[in-house]
Amino acid sequence: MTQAALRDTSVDVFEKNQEWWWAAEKKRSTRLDYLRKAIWKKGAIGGLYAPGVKVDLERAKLHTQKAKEMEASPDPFVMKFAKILAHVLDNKTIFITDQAQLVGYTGSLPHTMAWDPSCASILNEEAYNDPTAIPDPVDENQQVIREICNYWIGKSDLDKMMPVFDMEDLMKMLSGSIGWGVPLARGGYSNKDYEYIMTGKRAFGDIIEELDRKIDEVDAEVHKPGATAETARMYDKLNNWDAMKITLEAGIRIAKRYARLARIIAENFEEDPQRKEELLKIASACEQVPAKPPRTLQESFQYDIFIQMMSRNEAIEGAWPSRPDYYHGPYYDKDVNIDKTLTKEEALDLVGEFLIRAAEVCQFKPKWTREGLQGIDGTWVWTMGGVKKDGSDACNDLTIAFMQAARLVRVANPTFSFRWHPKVSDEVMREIFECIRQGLGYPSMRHDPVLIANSMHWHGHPIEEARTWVHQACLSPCPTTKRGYQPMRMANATANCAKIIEYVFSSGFDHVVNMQVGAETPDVATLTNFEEFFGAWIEQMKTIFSILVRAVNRARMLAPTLTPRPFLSGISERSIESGLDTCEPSLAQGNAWITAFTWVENIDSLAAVKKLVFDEKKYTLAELKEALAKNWEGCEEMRLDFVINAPKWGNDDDYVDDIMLRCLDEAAKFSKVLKCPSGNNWPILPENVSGNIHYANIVGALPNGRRLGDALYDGGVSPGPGLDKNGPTAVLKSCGKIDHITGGRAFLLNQRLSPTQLADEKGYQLWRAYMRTWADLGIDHIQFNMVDDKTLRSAQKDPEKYQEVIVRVAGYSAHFVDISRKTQDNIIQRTVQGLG
Amino acid sequence: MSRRDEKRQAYTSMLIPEKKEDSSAKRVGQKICGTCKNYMESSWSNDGRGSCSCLKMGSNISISPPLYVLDGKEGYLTKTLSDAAACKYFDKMKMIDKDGYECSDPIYRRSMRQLQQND
Repeated sequence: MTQAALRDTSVDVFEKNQEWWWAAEKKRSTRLDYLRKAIWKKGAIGGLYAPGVKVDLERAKLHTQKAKEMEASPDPFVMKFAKILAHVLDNKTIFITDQAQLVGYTGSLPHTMAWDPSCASILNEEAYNDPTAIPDPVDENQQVIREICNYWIGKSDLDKMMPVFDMEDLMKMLSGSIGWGVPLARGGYSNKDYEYIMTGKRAFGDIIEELDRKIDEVDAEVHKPGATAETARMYDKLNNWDAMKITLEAGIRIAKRYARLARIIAENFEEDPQRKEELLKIASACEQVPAKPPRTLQESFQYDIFIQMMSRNEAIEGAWPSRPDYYHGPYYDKDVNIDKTLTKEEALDLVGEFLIRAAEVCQFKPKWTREGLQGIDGTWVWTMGGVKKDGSDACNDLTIAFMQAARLVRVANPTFSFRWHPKVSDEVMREIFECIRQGLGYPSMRHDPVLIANSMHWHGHPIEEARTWVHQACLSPCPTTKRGYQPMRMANATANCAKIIEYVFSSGFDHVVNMQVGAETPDVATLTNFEEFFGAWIEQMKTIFSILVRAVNRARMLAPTLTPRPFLSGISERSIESGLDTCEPSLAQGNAWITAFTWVENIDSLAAVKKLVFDEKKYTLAELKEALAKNWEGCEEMRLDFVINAPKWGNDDDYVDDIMLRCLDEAAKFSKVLKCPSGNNWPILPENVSGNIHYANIVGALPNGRRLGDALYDGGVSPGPGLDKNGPTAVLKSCGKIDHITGGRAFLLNQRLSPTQLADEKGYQLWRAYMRTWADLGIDHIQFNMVDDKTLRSAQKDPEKYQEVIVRVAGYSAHFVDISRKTQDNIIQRTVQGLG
Repeated sequence: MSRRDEKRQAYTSMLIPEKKEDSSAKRVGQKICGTCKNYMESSWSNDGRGSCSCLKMGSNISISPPLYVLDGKEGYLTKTLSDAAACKYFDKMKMIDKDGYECSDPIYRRSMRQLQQND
């Protein structure tokens, strides 16, 4: 749209046409409009980064330079690592975006993706091999990258870890057929001990004082007459505490560099008095935090950004567990309602900018991550609402401000997930509905009472701790407490579950990666009844889950020594208290889960086999095995029989729904056999992100009629696209048959609703009634797409005009034009449900 | 050889070698495993891992004459850029999808610098 057309068209017209992105552009402040347009699109488009976005070589060079310098240092590894991190923070380029009130970025320049070369050589090779992301001059920088790659071969975290894994499991994992991600404490989803660091009671300076006290106490202890095993262990604690201190002090120093920069610009270059004042305010904020606790909303947001930036310099973090309305809410209340130092409009600008600063965060990531999270850098699923520790409603004015700001800035990442409970006010529900109706695809809705009970059931979190939960990634709840918080969720406990049913037909041999990966179950043609067939399915399920969990457990045990996290430890009460790395399993309650990608394919496939092979005896297992081996080629009539005449999940049909319950029951039983290093359970969590597309060419033909290469279902317990033919209530009823407390850790459910039907007050009331049914059935999750087919098809034809259309993919949102054609088609194919 | 030894050997064959020189596009031949119909990439393929659906473990196409093992279960582990000029089972794939933005598509490999000369 031209600027003139944008200027001449009223907000009302845009809203009537449901062109929410243009309406938002007209409604937001000049500052927010500038800041929103000033950020670079960091999420990969399909599997590739957008033109202009480049790998940041500065960080890689700083890290490598210091690592080389310290090779001969007598320091223990954790101290060396802390000093390298401090070196990076002390020397990285910093900048302040025009009109910004918040500062801090992971890379050295706004268009760069921070690259940590010490995590994995396979990631480094991707930097070398991706010509689109290498900064100019390409030839020269390619050589620089090569030298960095060479230095880290054999020295990176993953290179050090792999030889001490089980080789057989490792090869199966490296095949990429059954898992996703790597078992590393510096590459995954880091929660934080927010109850320790974000409640305003302390900041880095207070922690450093506490560390000094600890160090002095223990130092005195080790020098007393006498010697025990405990004395011997104290030296490691001292090293860990020293390392934590080094990183926290570096955190304070980089903040002061930002303060200095802001002051220099204000005092020497800025001519606009208002902007000068803003810059001095930034300087004041960065002098205050993270050294001392925040005093204002701006400082509270700034503090959060610094913590995230530092943590992302320590590790590749694929998620952003957060509860911003809860932890920043008191500052909003103080500034806006009590002290009245901020107007609501000014506060809304700050909230919007906070979302924008988070949206620009990016770290260079491998292909499987880019494909699995198309359109975003990681799952910044921010948790809103919910209850306080005493069970009372935690929603506040900032909850509403976040919803309003989200509609103005319309970033796809972060997204929100709302912890619904019966005490949530109608005012808040209307704000949520507006976000969904305006096509953001978020917030997703979570059933707080169910999920608190679920946390207590699966992991034994005490109720007060369970009530603090945030999304550790897309869906999984995790407390933010000393013992309950999980420092790292390693993504490779992500099972490509469609392989379970595929392997039943191949006795565990994977014909796509040419390797025996699954269990060597009997030739499927010899199985004579459904129970035997289902027994083979259970065996394959257990085998796949075990391979992945064994690797994570091993990595979790090795993490404190091989891949320590001194900064994350420095903001964790349990590490400050114990002197142990925060990843030490004995300090944690345990909050592990297996993400179950491509789960429902199993249910529909089992139902098809039960009905067409065993009940109706239309085909034999030998015939089906042959058809699948041929990828259904020459068997189209038979394939259509399996597609059309077999019952499908999501239609309130007990025939297939009972199979879902049996499968979940078997997985739940085995989840209690599998134990994490903290001694806790490994429940499953069906969801997909974009794994349904990533795995399309890796999963072979299946008995639900799918062929190799076809997109898989969009995930969780969502019915297959277009296969839920009995309406929205039938979908809810099917999902409601699952016990969402004991059946698994969480269950993703995608729904598409008609934006036209939900356009006005009647639409809101229809949605509320639908949500009441959802709540009554005790379903833990639901998320909505409310963009019509016409808009989506127009966006496919003319992407330039629809750059800002957002859709819910699965567990996260993305701009529609940033996801691959296959994913776009998959979203359009989802059934649009009419309510009422 | 124990089962563990076999797996260790397979793992070692997949390690990333240190490259002293830039292996520029010009030095990559027209026949490489990554453009063969028999090559199956893994999810980890951006560092060039994959396997052959025709040759089995124990094969070696980098020696002269190549060693072909056709019996066995598990595929021969190879890499996208492995020189397949001497492999008699090489079967060039047809390239599709020119924009390189599609996922899990063999064409993704063409976005890698080394393959640009093979268009």
